[in-house]
Amino acid sequence: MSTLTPNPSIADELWSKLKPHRFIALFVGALTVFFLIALVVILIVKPGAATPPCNPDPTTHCGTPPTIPQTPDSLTAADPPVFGGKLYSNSQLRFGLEYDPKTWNIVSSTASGVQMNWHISGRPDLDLVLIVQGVPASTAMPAQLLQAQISSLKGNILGLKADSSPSHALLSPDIGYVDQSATGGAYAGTLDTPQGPGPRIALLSMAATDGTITLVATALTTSSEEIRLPLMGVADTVLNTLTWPSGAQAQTISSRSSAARPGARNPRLAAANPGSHYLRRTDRATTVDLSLVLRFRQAALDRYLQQLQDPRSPNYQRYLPSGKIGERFGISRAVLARVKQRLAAAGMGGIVTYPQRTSLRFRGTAAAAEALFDTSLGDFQDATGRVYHRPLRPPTIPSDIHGSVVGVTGLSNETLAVPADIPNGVITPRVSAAAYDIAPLHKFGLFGQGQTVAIISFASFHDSDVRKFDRDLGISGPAVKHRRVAGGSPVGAGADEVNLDIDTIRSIAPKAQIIDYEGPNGGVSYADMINAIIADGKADIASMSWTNCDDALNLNPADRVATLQALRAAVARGITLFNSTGDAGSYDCQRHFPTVHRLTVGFPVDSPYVVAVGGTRLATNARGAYAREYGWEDPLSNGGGGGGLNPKDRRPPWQKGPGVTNKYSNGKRQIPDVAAAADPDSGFYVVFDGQGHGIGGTSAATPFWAGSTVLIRQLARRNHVGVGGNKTGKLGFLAPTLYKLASSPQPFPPFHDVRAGGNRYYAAGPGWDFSTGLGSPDVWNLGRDIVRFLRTR
Amino acid sequence: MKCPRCEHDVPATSYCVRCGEWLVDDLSKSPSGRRGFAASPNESALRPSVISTVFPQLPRADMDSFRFSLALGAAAIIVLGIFRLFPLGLVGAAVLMPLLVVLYLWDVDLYEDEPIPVLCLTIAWGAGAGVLVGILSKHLVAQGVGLAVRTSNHTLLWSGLLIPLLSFALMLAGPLPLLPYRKFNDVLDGATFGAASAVAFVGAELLTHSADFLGAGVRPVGATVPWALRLLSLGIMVPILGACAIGAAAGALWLRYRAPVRDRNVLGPLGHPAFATPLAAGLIVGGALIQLYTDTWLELLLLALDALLALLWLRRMIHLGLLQEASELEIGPPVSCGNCGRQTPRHTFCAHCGVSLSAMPKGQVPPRPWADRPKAQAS
Repeated sequence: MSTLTPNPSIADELWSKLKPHRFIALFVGALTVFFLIALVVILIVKPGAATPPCNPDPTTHCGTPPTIPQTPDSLTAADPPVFGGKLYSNSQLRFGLEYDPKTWNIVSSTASGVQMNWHISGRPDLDLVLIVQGVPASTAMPAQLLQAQISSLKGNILGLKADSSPSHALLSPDIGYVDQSATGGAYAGTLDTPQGPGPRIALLSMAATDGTITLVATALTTSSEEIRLPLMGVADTVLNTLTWPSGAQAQTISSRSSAARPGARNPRLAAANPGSHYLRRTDRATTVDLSLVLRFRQAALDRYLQQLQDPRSPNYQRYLPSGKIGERFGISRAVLARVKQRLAAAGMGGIVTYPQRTSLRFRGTAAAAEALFDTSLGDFQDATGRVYHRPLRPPTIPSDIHGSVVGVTGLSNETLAVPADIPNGVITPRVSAAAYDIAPLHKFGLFGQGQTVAIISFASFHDSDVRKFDRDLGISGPAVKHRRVAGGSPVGAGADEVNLDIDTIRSIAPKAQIIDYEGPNGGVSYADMINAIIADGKADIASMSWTNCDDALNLNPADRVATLQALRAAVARGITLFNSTGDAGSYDCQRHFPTVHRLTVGFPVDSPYVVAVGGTRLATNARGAYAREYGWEDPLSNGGGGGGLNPKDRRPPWQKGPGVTNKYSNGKRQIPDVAAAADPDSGFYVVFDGQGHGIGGTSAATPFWAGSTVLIRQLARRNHVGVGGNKTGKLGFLAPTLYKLASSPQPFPPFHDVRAGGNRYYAAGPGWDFSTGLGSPDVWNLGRDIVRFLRTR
Repeated sequence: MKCPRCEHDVPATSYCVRCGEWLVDDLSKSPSGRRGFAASPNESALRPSVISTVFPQLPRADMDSFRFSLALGAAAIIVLGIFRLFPLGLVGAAVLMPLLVVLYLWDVDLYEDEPIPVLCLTIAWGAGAGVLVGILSKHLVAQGVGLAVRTSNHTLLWSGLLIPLLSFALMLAGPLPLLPYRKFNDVLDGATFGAASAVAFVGAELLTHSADFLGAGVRPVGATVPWALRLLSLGIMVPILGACAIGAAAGALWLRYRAPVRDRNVLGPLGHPAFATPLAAGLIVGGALIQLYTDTWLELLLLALDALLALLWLRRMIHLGLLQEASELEIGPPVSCGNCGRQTPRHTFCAHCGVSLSAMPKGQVPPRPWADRPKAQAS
C-alpha cells in the first residue's frame, strides 16, 4: 500500500518525472520505433515486381504461367460439346450468358443483371466475382454506366481507384465481342471489414452497348498477382458467351476505327530486357554454341521464290533439294571449307554444315569466341533471376571470312523462344474432327500413313506421355522420334508445349511419323532448327508453336537474318512451316513486356516464309458439329490470337485476296494467314506429366493446321497429285495456294470465314482480316480443293 | 461552512472536499463555468474530452502532453494516408491509442507494486484476445472478393454481430480478475482497466486481421481521402469507442460489486450491470455495423457519434462514482494535491482545484479508510 506523506517535494518529483517535452519525446520515439519496425516488415514482405505473364525463363516454362486448377472432364464416353454450360437469361434486358455450374454460382440475379461467384474446392486462395449489369441504351452510355458501377463499389472497397500500372491496363474492352463505345479500365482497392482492412482487390471493369442496351461487366479478385490473369481468363470465358438482345455478337459491332491507337506505331522498345543487370565477365572456359550466317545470293533466291509461285515461270512449283539450294544460292564448297578451317584454327569444334549452306553451327569456349569475333562477353541477370550472356561490344566478323559470312548468332543467349500455349478447356479429337470436317478423311482411311511431319521444340517430352495419350484415345501410330539438335533439350520446361504439338497432330493424323526436333532454348536459334529440318529432308510439313516478340531490341539482328535465310531455304525446299502468332492478340510484345502496349507481332511468324496461324474461339452445337467461331480475344486476361503488321518485311506478292488490302495495310507482311481454335476455352486434350489437360493458344491451332495438312497431303498422294508434277502428294509451300483458293470461288468452301470477335485491336470481318486471316479450315473441303487445284496446274 | 450539495460541514475553500461542489457563490468564477468534472474540475462534466475521460488520473499538467500526443498521432496517421503510405498508417492507427494507454498507466503508476499481474490482466489480455479474434475473424468473416460487392447475411452475422459481441466479452473479461483486489476497488480502477484492455484489444485485432495488408507494399494503389478517413476511424474513433464502452461496463461492475451499497444506484440503470453490459455491447455492435454499412465521412461521423455516447457515459460514471464514494469519511490532516500541488485537507477532493484525489496517480492518492474494507457483497 502506498503511503502519502504531506511533502510537497512529491509533486516536484512527479513534475520532473514527466515534464511535457520529455513525455512527448518518449511518445514520438516509441511511435517512430513502431513505424521503423513496420517499414522493415513491409519492405521484407512487399510484393515483387510484376513479371511477364510469359516468363522467358527455361526453368519455369513460359507457356504455363501459374494456372488455376482444372476440373477436367478428361475424356468421357460421349465427347461434350466445346462449351455446354448452364444458361443465364435476363428477361428484362434480354441478354444472356453461359457458365459452368460446377465452378460458377449465381449469388444474385436482378432485373438489371447478375452477380456470379467462381470457386473451386480446396482453393480458397482463388476467388473471382463477375458482375454483369445493364440498362436500356437510352438510359446510359457505356462510360456513364461504368462510372456508376465503380461508384457503387467504392462503398465496399476501401480506397478504390483507377490502377495506373501499365502492367494491369485493360487495353481492349469489349463484352461478348461487342465493343461499340466500349470503355473500361483496371482498378484497385482494399477489402474492408469492421475488423480492419483485408486483402488487396483487383478489378477490371468494362462497358459497351449494342444500341439496345448498355452493359457493364466487372471482374474482381483478391487472388495474388501471379494468378490474376488466368483468373480473369475464367471471367473471359463467361463473357465471351454473352448474347446481346440485338444478336450483335454474331456479327461484331465494332467501333475499332482506322485511327491508330495512341502509341500504336512501332517505336522501339525502351529496353530489351528490363530489370537486367550486369554480373561479371563471362567465364572464359564457358562453352558457347554459335552459328555463322553464310552469305547467300539473296536476290537470286528471292527471284526463285517468286518463280515458284508464278504459273508462267518454268520454275513454277519446282522446289529444290537442299543440296541444290546450297549449290545455286550458297557459297562455294571451297569457300565453305576455308571458313571451316578458319574456325578450327580459332579453336572451335563441333562444326556442323548443312547442304543448303545457309549457316554453319559450331561451339567453343567463350575465350575463343571473344578472340575470333573481337568482342567480350558478359553475364547478365534478368528480373526472373535467369543468367545469360551477351556481347559487351559489337562483334566483328574476321576479315578473312568476311566475304563469306554475314553474321554470327549465339554470342547472346538473352532471348528465348516462347511457346504459345494456355491451359484450359478440352477439345477432344472427336470434336475437332466433327467441327472442322476432318471426319470424312478419317472415314476414307486417311490417318497420315506414310506421311512425315516435323515439330520444332525448344524442349523435349516423355515418351510415356504420348503412350498414355494413345491409350486414352484408343489410337496407335509410329513412335514419335526425337531428333536432337545441338545436344537436344531436357524434358521439363516446355514439355507441355511439346506434348500439345505432338498430341494435337496425333489426334488428327495418328499414323503419321512425327519427328520432334529438339534444341536447347537459348542454345540454338530458330535458324538451327529449320536448317536441320531442311538438311534432313524427311518432312515438308512442319509445326512450330514458339515465337518471339518482333522488335529490334528483343531480337538479335543476326538471329533475325539467320532465321529468315533458313526460312527462305525452307520455302525453296518446298517446306510449309506452320507457326503460331502468339497469345497476346495484337499486342504480342505485351506477353514478354507487360508494360509495352504497342501493336506488335511475333517473329518469325511474321515472315513471308511461314504460314501464320491465328486463333479463334470455337463453339459447337450439342452434337459437336461446327456452330460458330469468333476471333479469339479475351480482354480481361490479355489473351488473343496474334495478328498485325510485320515491322520490316514487305508483303509477299502471293498475299492477296478479299480483305487483304484494307485500312490498316501499309505494304508490310500481314498476319495471320489462317486460324483455328485457340481460345483456352476450346483447348485441345493433351497428356503431359502423366495427366490429361486441356490446352489452348495458337500453340494448339498451329499443330492442328499441320496435322490437317498431313491428311490433305495424304489425300493428294492418294489422288496422285502434287506440286511440280510430283505425284507423291507434295504440297510445297502452302501459303500461296491457300490465298489462291480464297481468291476465287471453290466448289467446296475451304474456309470458315470468321466474321465476329477480333484479337484485342483488329476485328474479324468478311474475307481476310488481321484476327483470323482467311479463316479456319473445313479440312475435307480444303483437301478436295487443293487436290483439284494441283490437278489443274 | 455547510456544503449546499452534500450538506456536510466542510472547510470554507473553493471546493467542497467531500463532494467537489463549487463553494464560491459566483458560479461564473468556476474554471468550467459550472460544476466541474470530478477528475478534472476545470472541465465541465459534460465536456466530451477524450483525455480527461479515458485517462482520468492524469495530473492536469500532463493532460496537455497527452492531448498534444494524441493530436500528433492523429495527424501522423492522416499524413501517412495522404501520402499513400497506407500500411504504415495502418500500423500507426493500431498502436497509437495502446501506446498512449501504456504511457498513461506508467505515468499514473496504476500498477502499484504488482505491475506484472496487472499488466497481464489488462494490456496483455487485451492484446492476446485481440490477436485471437483477429485470427478468428480472418477465417470466420467472408474474406473473399464477394464481400466487396455484396454484404451478405453471413457477413452481417459474423462481422457485424457475432465477432463484435465476442470482442466485447473478451475485452470486458480482461479487467474482471482485478475485481476482487482491494487495492483496485474504485470505480475508476474498473473503468481504467476496462479501457486499457479494450484499447489493447482493438489495436491487436486490427494488426492481426490486417497483417496481410502489410504485404501490399509501401505505397499500394488507393484513393487517399477515403484511406485517411478510414485510418482516422481505426486509429482514433474505434479505440475510443471500445475504451469508453468497455470502461463504462467495467465501471458499472465495479460500482455494483465494489462500491458501498448506498452508492450503487447513483447512476440509475446506466450503472447497473444488467443494463450497462448490454448497452456497452450495443455500442460496440453499433460501431461494427456503422463500419459495415457506411464509409468515408459518414462512417467517421457516425463512429464519432457512437464514441461520443460511450464517452459521455463513461465520463458520467467516473464523475458520479468519484462524487459518491466518500460522503461518510472524516476529514483528515492536510496533504499535498498531486494536481495543483497545494495543501488540502485529506478527503476526496482537493479544496483548491477540486480534483478528485482518487483521480490522481496512485502514488499521490491519500489512503482512504475504506481501502481495507471487506469485499462488498452484492445486494
